[in-house]
Amino acid sequence: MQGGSLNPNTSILDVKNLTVRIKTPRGPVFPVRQFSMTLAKGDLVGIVGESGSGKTLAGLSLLGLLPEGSEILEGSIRFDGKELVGAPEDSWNRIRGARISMIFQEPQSALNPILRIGSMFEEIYDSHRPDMDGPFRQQAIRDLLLSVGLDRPDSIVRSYPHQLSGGMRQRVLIAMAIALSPDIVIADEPTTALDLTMSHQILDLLLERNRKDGMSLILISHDLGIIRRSARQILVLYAGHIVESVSGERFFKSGPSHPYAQALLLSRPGANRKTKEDGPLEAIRGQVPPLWELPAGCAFAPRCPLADARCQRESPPWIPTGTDQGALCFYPSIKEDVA
Amino acid sequence: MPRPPESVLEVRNLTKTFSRPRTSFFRPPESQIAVYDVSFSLPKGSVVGLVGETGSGKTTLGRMVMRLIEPSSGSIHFDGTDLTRLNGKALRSLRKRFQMVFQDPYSSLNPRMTVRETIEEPFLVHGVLPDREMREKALESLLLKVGLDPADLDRLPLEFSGGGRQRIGIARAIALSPDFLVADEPVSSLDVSIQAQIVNLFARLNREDKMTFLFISHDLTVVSYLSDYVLVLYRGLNVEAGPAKEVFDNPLHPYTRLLVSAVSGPSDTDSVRDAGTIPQGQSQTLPLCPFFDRCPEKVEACRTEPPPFRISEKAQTAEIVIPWTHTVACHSPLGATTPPTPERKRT
Repeated sequence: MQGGSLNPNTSILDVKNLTVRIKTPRGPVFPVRQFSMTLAKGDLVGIVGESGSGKTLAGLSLLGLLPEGSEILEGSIRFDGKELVGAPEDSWNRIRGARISMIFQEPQSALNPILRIGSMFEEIYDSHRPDMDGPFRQQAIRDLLLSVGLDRPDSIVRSYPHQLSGGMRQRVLIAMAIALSPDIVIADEPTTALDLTMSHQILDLLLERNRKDGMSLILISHDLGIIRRSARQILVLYAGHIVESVSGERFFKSGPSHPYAQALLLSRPGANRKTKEDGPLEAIRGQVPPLWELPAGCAFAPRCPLADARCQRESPPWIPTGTDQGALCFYPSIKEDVA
Repeated sequence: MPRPPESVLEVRNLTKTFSRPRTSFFRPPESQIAVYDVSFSLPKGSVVGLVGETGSGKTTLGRMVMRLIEPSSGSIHFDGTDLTRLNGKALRSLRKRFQMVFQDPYSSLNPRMTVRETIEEPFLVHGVLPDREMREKALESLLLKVGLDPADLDRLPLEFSGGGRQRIGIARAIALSPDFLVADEPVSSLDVSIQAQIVNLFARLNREDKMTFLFISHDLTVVSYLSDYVLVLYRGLNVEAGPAKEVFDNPLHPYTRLLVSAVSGPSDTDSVRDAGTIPQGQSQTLPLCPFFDRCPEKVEACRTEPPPFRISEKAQTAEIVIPWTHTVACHSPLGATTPPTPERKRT
């Protein structure tokens, strides 16, 4: 029940205990463990984690796009009432892009460099909407590009990716992701490759789609500043585990319960320390352990200020911290919601 | 009346123009101004933050200061000499006095050199501490200073995480106690939980060893934490400069205000959304204001005249030293006046 449960009538995506295994020369590793989340229609869930936390693989597994060598070991992904784990490739093909789509981090490498933007849109329609003919298609592509803030759609359609700026490429990717009006968009670090002012605009675009069209959004980022803006629920990932599931409001107001989530918030300048005169930043000591060297007990124990002998030895329990909220910790600090 | 601090480096009217490939045989090659007429000094023992988005020229400026890129015009004064006039041997002998920390710790270290070889190289190249035992001691104390273990000396970079590698890069840069360091986005490629460790390391080197930094970053929260002074660059133009607290608390230039509001969060994002994006591949507007197209407060003069150099109404006017004096290049800034004497001429 880690990701919290909603009324089953409104939930469109229900992931339970998803575990991903990768076979490596050093033996199997589990970059995603017991991952559970629920997404309602028009919902917005943020996934926070550092590199190696499993956030990208968790996102990819929801699209059936796990890279070669990795597989879903156990768990279930129920989308719109249907089980997707173990589903044949052609049912994935009907869902991927059309009902669940993804925006990738690097707009440069996510676009085909030798195709014009127009041809890439044609591909989308050829595979999912072959019934839609020429003029309708052209109009739809123009409308899409306009809706993501590209005001000269006709010249964009004729351009190659390298002729567009990073921000324009990211807008094109968003337009492609929403082309078939999917129920869910997974945005993996959608603004990390962009400048500050640009990333605000791209985020606004996604949030607007989420609010106006009821498109459910899963926002994956390492940047708390991005997640800050209006996520209903926040999942904090560390070394493959969801270590905390917490409402967005609580996370930024009264604060999270898991020591790692708390430390992440405090390690940024601005929280307690605005300038160096206020003293050193509260850095988290050590580093994220590699997946093949995870400690026996809690993965965060070697870096945790609260850890004791039990944390080193035993896997921590999932302790509820409120409605649909919880933390994977022996000693979560449970706070009252701020009214 | 307070006096401006002593400076280790003075940059005067630095400009860099890159020529672009010809678009047609019949057209003359075009040129792109990357950095335009930037002047500032590095006050001794301080951290000067250099802020800007992609294409602002911040990396070009940092590399010119390091003499890794040849400036098109302007001068860089360091310890009584103009660095731009030095070449070959004379430049090499000064090199040990200014060093650089690079953005990507994965590509800036030689993967086949051990930590010892990497950090020892500057000593050998410049003939410092020829005595082996003393050098060994120096290497060990360097590692301790950057938070590594002397036992790490014989390990290879690939055995370290990003944060560990960046510590090696910093140890190499500070090995010969340089007069100043240029750090180009030194924490941007690190994990969030590691960034604070490295930021703290910079703060400690600055506080305890009085080290001077030019700290280049697009991350305003990190810059405002670490910097005593900031320079804000937009498409090659230094639009605003001053003590960090004044610039971030009372930004004068519309672009700086846009940046600050983009950081401060969701309450005030309309201005950011309406402000458009950095135009790509458009014709060069300099010396006219490059922010003109996006500016919510443009006036008629912006169209015809280069933005005038002004100083904050609150600034000390006895002596104008960038970035000690809070200055702005704008026709319609908030709360700034024209200086008593024209300090910079624009041609």
